[in-house]
Amino acid sequence: MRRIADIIDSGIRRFGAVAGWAAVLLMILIVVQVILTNFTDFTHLSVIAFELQLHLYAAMVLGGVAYAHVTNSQVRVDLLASRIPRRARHIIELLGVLFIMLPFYGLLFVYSLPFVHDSFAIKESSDAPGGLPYLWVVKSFIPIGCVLVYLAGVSTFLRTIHRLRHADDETDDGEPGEKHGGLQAPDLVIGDKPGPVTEDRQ
Amino acid sequence: MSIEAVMVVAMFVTLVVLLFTGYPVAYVLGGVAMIFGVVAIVHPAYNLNFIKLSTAVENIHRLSISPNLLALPMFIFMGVMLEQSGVAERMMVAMQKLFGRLRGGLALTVTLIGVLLAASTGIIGASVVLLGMMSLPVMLKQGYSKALATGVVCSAGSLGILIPPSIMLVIMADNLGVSVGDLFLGAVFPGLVLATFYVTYIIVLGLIKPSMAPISDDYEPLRPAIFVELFWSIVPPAVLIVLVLGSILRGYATPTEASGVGAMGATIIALANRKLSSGVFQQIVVASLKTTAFITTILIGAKFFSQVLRQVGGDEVIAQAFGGLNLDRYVMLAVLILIVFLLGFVLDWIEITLIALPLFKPVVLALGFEINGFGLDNAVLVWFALLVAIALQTSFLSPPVGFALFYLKGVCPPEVKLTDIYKGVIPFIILQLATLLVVVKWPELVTWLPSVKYGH
Repeated sequence: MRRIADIIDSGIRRFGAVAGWAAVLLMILIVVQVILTNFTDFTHLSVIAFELQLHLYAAMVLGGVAYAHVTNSQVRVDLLASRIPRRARHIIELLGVLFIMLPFYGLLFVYSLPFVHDSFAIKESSDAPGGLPYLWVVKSFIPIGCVLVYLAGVSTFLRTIHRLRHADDETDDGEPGEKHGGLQAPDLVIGDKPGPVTEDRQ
Repeated sequence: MSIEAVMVVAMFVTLVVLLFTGYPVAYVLGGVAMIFGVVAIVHPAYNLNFIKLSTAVENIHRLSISPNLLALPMFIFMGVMLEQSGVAERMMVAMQKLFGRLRGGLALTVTLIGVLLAASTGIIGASVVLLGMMSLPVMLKQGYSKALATGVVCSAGSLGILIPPSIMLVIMADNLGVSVGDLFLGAVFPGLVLATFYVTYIIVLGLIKPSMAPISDDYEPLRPAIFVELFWSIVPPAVLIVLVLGSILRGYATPTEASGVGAMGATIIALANRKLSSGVFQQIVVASLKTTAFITTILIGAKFFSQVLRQVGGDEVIAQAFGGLNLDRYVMLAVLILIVFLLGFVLDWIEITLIALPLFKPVVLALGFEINGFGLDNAVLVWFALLVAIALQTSFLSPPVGFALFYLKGVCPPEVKLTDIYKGVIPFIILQLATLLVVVKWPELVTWLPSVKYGH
């Protein structure tokens, strides 16, 4: 079971390592767009640059949920939670996945399908003059993102079951909210010395 | 109580209870909204035309193509890049050589660098850690009190959330429907007032309680070279600040465009400082993605929560509850800010901004403040957003769960206790509250600078 979880997680991580470069591309596109609008007459190209930015951002937002999940970067309020026993925390994690996370993203998935389908059916294009022609592409990031989140949720489910069964096996880290005291600090804090960023947690 | 009021109260109670289980905030928000959305659908008192859970997908779509929110990953990238660029280390070394010999000089150095970092990045956390690691050992070695040393680091490190460009202000603007640029420019003077209070406090404390900030005499004599070194260390962040804020003020670029240009600028600085190997670059990319991802995940959950809250009648219930109080408008304002401040003890700024702000918006508008807006659109909202921003800044410092405190604890030498940090931040929280009062009294501090952009 843990093997399946590991496979899913590493897949999403690898996806994330690539998706992160969208930010770099985004940066370049913005600079290009600023130059095109202010210093040249290629306004058509600058609209395309802008629309591409939105596509990249949408992909980052919707793919990012699953990535934040598998890297345990989600913010938790563990003022009280850090004081309850490990086993109880695993059970909370399990109930959370089953009754909160998966149903919520399932709901989004179900509603997003007709949303994308309608857009596809009418060949909906962007409002901006000269914009990219396929709005359904951006919209379809929503169900794709939901599927990734589902995989991530299933992985957590399997992993937590494994932990409950093998209570003494604490070899793997990434325990829910154990990294810090109060609010779990996401990875804004990098490393414990000034200098290079620490390795991706695994 | 009406069914709407029962639903609203039940939603908030369930939210708080589930949040304290330690399950991720982003999922709890969405899950609670889903549960109550379904309850409203099956409950006969509700008109099904108003309860449309499918709206959630449209909201997420809008979120994912919002040009304003596009600035988030860029400002985050810029921040992470700048932390790694060695800019802060150079400034710290140069400033310590110059100011270290003055009473309280090391603490002043931290505050000044905090302001410069804040004005060139929009995220905190990393700033607190960076400032802490660079300055705490020096300050403690020179015999500074632990409380003063840690308080200075926490307060200076969290200035980034108020002083533009700040990701909190980007999210607030999106939520209130005001311009990001207006909020950025509106935050400049309140941020400077706060920084001035910090500086004054440190100087005065050094004078009346010299034992808390002793001076040392093993500094090298003043040479022109020290000033030259200081000058060159300040140039890169200064250029970035002018590039980002200046272009927004002069109307050359939107905040989103400025964010991309700023990110590029930070990358160039890091390259020039030879801090950017391909490995470090990959790690910066991953770290920025994680931060962007966890924020947008909360955005998705919170949008859905606000949507369902509105559909079950939340706006009316809240408006009636506050309207029924029939208080003086400034008392009412104080109540709203107090709620934000108190929430800051248990929640962090993202949830508070995303949930409380849209609920407070109609309440504040109904109070009918007449402030001098210099012709600025939505002047009252911009002013109110900044008041909330200052109140939320304190949430970073407020025990027991302030972000900054834990970031700092992680890098403190072992002899510094969490209670030292708690003690250290209290004066700075009081200074923040003083800033809040100043901005309530003089709204022009907020509204004047953005109005310049429009040439009023």
